[in-house]
Amino acid sequence: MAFQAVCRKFVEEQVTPLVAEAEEKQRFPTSLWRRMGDAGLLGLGFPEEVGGAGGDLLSVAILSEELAKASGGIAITPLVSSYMAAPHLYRFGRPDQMREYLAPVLTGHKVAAIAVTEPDAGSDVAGITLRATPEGDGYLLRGTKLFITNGGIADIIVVAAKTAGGDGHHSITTFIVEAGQPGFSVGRPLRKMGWHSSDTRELIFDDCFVGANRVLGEVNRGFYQIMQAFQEERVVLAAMGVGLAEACIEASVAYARHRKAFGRPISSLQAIRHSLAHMRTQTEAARLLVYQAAVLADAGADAAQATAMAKLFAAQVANDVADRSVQVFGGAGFLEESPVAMHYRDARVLRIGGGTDEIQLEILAKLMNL
Amino acid sequence: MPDMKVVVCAKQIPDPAAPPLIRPDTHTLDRTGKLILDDSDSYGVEMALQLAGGADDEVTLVSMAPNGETAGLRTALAMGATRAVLISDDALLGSDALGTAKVLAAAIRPIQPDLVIAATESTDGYTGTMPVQLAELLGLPSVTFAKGVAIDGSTVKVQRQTEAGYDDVECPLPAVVTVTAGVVEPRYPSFKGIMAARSKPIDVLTLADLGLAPADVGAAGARQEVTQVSEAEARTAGEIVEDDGEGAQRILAFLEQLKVI
Repeated sequence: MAFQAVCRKFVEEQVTPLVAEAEEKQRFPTSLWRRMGDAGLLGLGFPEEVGGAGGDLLSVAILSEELAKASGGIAITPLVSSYMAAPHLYRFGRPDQMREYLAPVLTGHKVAAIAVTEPDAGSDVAGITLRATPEGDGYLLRGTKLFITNGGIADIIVVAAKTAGGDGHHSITTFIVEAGQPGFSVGRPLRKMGWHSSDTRELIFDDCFVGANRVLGEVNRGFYQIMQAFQEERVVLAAMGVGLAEACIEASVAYARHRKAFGRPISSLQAIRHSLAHMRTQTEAARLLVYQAAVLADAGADAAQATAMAKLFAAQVANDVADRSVQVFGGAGFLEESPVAMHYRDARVLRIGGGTDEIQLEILAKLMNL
Repeated sequence: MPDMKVVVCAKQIPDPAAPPLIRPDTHTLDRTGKLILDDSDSYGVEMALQLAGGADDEVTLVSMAPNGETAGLRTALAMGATRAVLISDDALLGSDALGTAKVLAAAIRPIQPDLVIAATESTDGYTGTMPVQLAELLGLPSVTFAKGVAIDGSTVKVQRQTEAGYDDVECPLPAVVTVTAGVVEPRYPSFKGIMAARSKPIDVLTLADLGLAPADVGAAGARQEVTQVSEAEARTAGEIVEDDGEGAQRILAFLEQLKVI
């Protein structure tokens, strides 16, 4: 757990002091990129040969947990870049693509995003409509992506597009697009319920030319590539849920010890102390599911069931614990300046992003041969 | 300079974030629990790593802890230090600054370092006297309060912090230099560093290994005794002045009243 201690120290020293301003300005503090890169926190789970920092998915989960304790909006920004977008570059990129696009992301010199979701296709990845039409030595991309985290700050965007007609399972290809390319533009920042310091945009592709050398992986195999990389993404999001719940518990316990009602600290009232004990238990259970999913994936074992369970359960626990923590705070919890209000808002997206609760339940039901 | 050998005195202390426990019998800090690397020493470790970053260079941590604790040393090893020497012996309990200096000197002497780095003072004891006693025992010159350190051949060049700014000081190597917080920004141990630190050597020595007699160190050899410990006075609330256009004058009047301007 020495690594957890380092992550905690890093977050306390480098991230926590920036949260209030980042949330207020709804902007990710850009100084964090290089600081995280220098500390080796953007290249975990990637081998040194490609510029990574060693480590595994469990170490990524631990980092995610610690970052999310400070702020979901700040946490998600580097986590998307390094652990949701970059894995596509690593798993499916050619050596030259890894040198050019992956290596700078793992050191914080460049920011990455992954663009799959569209206005009419979220969980239904096969239903995307952004088209990539062959043109000369490459493709013309046309269409829009929506809810793209890091959309406005990314230098490198992995974009999923339809390259053939028919069933989406066999007609999707992923491409590497660079910010500033002709034909590519981003909409204004989308205002969200939570994750205020995270940048979320609509991406517009208006006959954006991408050379054939920027195809990532195999043509028409994109659906399967995306599904593979989703596994890591879900572990990261689940770990964020655990971190968020942990932060809510810490804040609630401190408040309950201090706040007096009926002549004694509310932590001595059964209604409150039992709620806190329940929060603690739920969070620990979620943490163990997340660690199990990470450990299985690290061992090369089938982690599909563990990952779906971890994502489903941790996201729900985060919401329940955040709700309970606001209740512990009472009126103070309803104030924006309370330490739990931000977490309460940030928790909700965890049941949606990276595969909704319903998608996880569907995966689990299928694994039960139902 | 090839094969630069730097020793860093690394103290492991009770976590300052936790409430301190004072032993009622000795009036000293209870150090029997979990110990972590003193933040003051992380600056020295970083400075050493920057000065002795070559493949053949060596950064050795030297530490003294009564309970065989190595967690703090592992942190410094994870930052990149080469190896560590820990002196751990029941007879060390109750050592004063001079006792500590004797033990560290005995451990450092055989290493024959080019440079010994220590923090200006520790975060738990704050005597600030150990490094100069160590230099005296090793027969080395010492430069204190370094806010900048550079090696030039067989000379160490130090920017020595003063009240007004800093003095440029040079001193022949080997030497003892104490560094202030802020001399460099300590790195965070990387995942790779943490893994590598697990297999880095920590030599655990006893007093007998160093040829020291129990009577010279620990409570038995201490010439200093803490006779009383009392709680620091609680800070009183400050005065908040709303700036109604005369804020600057109010501040000036306040500073004049304190006779600081």
